[in-house]
Amino acid sequence: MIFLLRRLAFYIGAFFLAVTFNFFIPRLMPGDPSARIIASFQGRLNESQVEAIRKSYGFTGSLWEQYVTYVGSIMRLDFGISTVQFPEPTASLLFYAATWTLVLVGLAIFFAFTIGSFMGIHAAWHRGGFFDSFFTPINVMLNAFTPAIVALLLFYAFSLQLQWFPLGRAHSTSIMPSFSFEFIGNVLYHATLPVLSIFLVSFGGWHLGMRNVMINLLNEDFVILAKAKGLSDRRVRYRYVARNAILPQITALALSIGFLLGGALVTEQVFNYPGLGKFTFTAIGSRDYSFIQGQLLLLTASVLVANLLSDIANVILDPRLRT
Amino acid sequence: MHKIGLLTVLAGALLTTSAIVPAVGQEEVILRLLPYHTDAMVENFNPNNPTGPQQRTRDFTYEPLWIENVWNPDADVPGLAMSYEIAEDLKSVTWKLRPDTKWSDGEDFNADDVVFTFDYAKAHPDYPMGIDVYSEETGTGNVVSAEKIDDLTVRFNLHEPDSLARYGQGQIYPLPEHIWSSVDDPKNFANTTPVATGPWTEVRNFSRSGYEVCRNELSHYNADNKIDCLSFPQMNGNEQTVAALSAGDLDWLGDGLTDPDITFLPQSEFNNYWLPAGSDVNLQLNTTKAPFDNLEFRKAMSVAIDRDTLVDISTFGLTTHTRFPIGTGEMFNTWYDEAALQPYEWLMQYTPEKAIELLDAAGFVDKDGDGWRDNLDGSPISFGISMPSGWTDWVNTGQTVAENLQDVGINASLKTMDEGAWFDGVPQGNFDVYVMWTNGGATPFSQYQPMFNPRLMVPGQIDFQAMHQLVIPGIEEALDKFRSTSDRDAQLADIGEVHKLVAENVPVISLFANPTWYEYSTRHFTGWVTEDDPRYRPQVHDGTRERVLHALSLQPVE
Amino acid sequence: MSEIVQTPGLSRPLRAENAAEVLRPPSQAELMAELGLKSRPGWTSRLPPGLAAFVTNGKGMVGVIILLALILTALFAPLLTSYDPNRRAGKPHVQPGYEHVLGTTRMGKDAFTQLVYGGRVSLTVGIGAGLAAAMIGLALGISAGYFGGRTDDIITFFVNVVLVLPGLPLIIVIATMVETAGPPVIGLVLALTGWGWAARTIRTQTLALRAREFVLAAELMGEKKWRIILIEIFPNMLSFVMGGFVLGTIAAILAEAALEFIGLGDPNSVTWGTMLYWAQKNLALQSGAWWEIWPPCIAIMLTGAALVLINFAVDEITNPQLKASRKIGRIKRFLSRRGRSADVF
Repeated sequence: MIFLLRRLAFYIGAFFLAVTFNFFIPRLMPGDPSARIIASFQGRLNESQVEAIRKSYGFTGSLWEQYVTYVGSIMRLDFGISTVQFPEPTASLLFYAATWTLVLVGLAIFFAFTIGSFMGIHAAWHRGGFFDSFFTPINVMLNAFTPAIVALLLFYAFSLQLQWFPLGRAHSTSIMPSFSFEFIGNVLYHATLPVLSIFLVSFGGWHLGMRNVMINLLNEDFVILAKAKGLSDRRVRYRYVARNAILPQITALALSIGFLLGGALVTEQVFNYPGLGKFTFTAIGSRDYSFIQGQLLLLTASVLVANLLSDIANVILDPRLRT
Repeated sequence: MHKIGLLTVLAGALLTTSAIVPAVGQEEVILRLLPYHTDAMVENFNPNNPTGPQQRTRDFTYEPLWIENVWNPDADVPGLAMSYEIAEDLKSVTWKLRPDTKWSDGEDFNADDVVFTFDYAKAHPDYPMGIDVYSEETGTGNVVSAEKIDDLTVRFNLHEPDSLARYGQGQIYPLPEHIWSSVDDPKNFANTTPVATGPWTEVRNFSRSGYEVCRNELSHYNADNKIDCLSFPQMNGNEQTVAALSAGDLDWLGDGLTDPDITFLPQSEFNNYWLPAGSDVNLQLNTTKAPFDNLEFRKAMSVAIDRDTLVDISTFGLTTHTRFPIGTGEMFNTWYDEAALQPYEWLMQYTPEKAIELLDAAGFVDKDGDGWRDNLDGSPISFGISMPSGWTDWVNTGQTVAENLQDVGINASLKTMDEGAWFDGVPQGNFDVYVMWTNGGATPFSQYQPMFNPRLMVPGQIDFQAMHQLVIPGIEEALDKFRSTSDRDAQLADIGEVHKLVAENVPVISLFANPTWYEYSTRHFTGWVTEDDPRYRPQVHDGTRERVLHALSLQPVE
Repeated sequence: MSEIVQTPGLSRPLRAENAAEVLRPPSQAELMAELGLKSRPGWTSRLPPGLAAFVTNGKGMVGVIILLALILTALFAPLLTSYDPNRRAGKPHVQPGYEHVLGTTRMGKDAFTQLVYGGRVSLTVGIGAGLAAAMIGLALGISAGYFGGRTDDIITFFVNVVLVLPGLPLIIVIATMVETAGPPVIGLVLALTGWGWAARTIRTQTLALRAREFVLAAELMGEKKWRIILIEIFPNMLSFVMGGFVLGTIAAILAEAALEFIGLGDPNSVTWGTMLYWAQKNLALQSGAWWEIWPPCIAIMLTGAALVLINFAVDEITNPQLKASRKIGRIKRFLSRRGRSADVF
């Protein structure tokens, strides 16, 4: 219990650190949205109008007052109004972008985790065999091919050249969002290449992680005993070894789900996918502070919650931590 | 019996199909256009919101008082006003408004709405309506008041005589008083159900990935309007827009394209583009610093730059040459006095030998032996061309300029930075050099005024055009004279004076003219503006009031 | 259960084929050849054991050779090309040929020159950031693990913060504050945000080592703390530091390329990432200029692959279980040919 309380204290501390960090971002970054708006008028604004616009986008009050107001609005889950997608509340934009990110990165993580783990089990069981000595290095190398390149090549080959898949977007403009087979099919069709590009650079990690843990477990006494008892191959492989090996994998999965809400910036950029990464990138470029702050907070909160959940899981699974 | 029956059925089928054909023809005509890239549509139709909505609502939904036909000034088209009259003393402009005009909700449009619009702009200076409101406090602006003469006549009173005031007033987009009088915070008002007078006002099928604006039955354009709805899809990125235009999902576009002959034209037989010369691009030099305070140095820089490479390679052959070193270009060529400008044409020629000669003669030589020329006082010359890192064609331009300058012994380099940091740095006026666009407008005044107004050279509030900070009293005088006369010949003489002074002082270095981006598809519509038929400026973007006329003049393909 | 036992029918004919040889006991040389063992220890046996383990590791050596080749090409860039990477060297989009080995970019710069000079920057930033991250991780990890108590609490807090810190927004904020996010800035930020995993691993290892007899013995003998850390603990950390370094370098090279690719770097610098950025911006793929986009792609992929191979070797040295498994296939086959159960492994 003390362990959990300590962790909880850490998470609350880290969260406030993030809130404070967030608060200072717009005050440290040069430039605000007004300069861009003023520039777009190409000299058709006179000085007093320029001044009024500058003032209306700036900060007022002492730093401490601003901080208190900011923390207060965070507590009310009020993330302010987006200046790029004006005057959309940041919260609803975050929700919209997060939905698409969940589709994209969620599917990719799901496939990468399951396929990668199964390949890892297979490689560990037949360690030293052809599958292990060939696919293990290949899969892990794929992991080191940056998403930028993989996404770009997939985009080039299947969207531009062969034209099997659309050039980006989450769904066609001609279809109105609804819970119909047609719409969901359209979304999946559009998501294929982006999901594939994230999948290709991430499943090798799960493969290697699973394989290494499995190999260490294969020599444990309980596995040798199980074999000696004459249990079936399948049973030993999945019930005894994989089941134990999956625990650290689950912890890692929790963490990667936490980071999921960071979006897949590069992939979203290449495929023009309306996820959190792309929105954040646009927001940063045009100094949409409320969106940047909202997204950072969302990301930090989800990472911390995922960590907390994995801590709780660890306490439940590992009695030694309960003291 | 059987056969006859079959025949009747067949005949009936033929009849029904022939009956359906016109019905198909009568199906909704939709023009798909993309004036603005965005990641998500927002339900905001505020005509004075520059973050996107203005791009889609102005002109098509909200009408201005006057539609300037910039390419054919003699064929201006009335908007919500039918005519204007500039007072003898140039201290007021009287506008006759369009009679029998109704807002799309059925209310009458009249002078009260225009007066309200002006007062509203005055009350909300942070709501950028583009009206040059006079402020007693700061002494800026010029329009003092809007006065209702009768139901269809409004007079704008000016603080100082100004022959150009009607240009600014023509681009006022009147707001319906009965709607906006209850809006206290217009900047944050989303205006979800627009009430306006333009040809398309009725929003439908809104989602984050696009929406349509359909026919306003009460619009005075309605009888001649062949297009039932405008469709604004949400898109971002050139790959997408080019693909959409090629596939027929988009008709009208204004994107910057690289190598359009390779990457755009072959995609579809219906794809077309035309890139008429747009506004000029200048190199701004900070003349408050050495060595830019030296005229000979500035001249040497001008002839050291290889503009052929800039046009053909750095900007992909899409820009066009500028003939004279006067800070503006072909867009205002009706104001040229070619004979008077001839003597300055050499400043636009790439002659590195001449640059070296000028620099040597002026005393900019390598004094410390590091291979680079030094200032007259011996301190080393080393400066950066500041550029937002995402503006790739200008980054290319800056790289080439830096190379050209290095070739004549000047240690120049390109300094890229975050766009926000750049926008923040400009008003401070402490960059050395940057590449800058110029303002469009009906007369060159709209460019020279911000460029040479000393009030816009105060550090902290420096205009994008005024970073050179070179005060030239002769130009100010000429511009004042220009504004206070409505005589075309006198105005020509004044601009001629400005041209000469700019060419003599080289406060900025002219580089090339940007293209006007315009791509279209003839799949669903014909009758587009072309090089042979330049009846309107063809851009789809806000700032081109003619775009509504362009849209209305298109013919749907049967 | 092994397949051999369950399917005797399959293995019998195999043995029958070899029947003649089975009659004659195989020579030792034959047995060793079948197991893939060398009769005499090679020159590697004279190396220190850690290094020998690395040198004899096939994957690791392939990785080292690729990486060395890349580094040498970058190092000798001026000898390999006479063009200036920052300057135009010809017409735009010239096809690869004699004049321009890999053609020219849309701006007319020599692609091969950009590739080799870009390698200098990309590899320096990647390796530098990886090294710095590993060093920070080492210092903090050992301190936290060895000193414990309050020191451990504070360091662990920061390790955890760094681990959950969203790196991208941070780099952008820093980039906008210094005006230009050139490669050194990117490298610095990646180093400052990338040490979390190394520190965590090393801390855990130190905690384990601290309880070991030889450390306790040294403490009882009154050795100074820094001496214990340096002489007793540090050598045992080498492979973990190496692992942290390799992983950090991979992460840094990929992150740098990604950041520059999406346009957050300095487009004025020549690196593999900015080459990709320009190729993408100038629509190299759409206009058929494959030579502008493939070389940096392949260079980044090769570097990644080489580092992954090295990391395999490091892993196998750190964790001998994994290493043993490399030979297991052969031994299993060896045993099964003789009809013996291979289940003990």
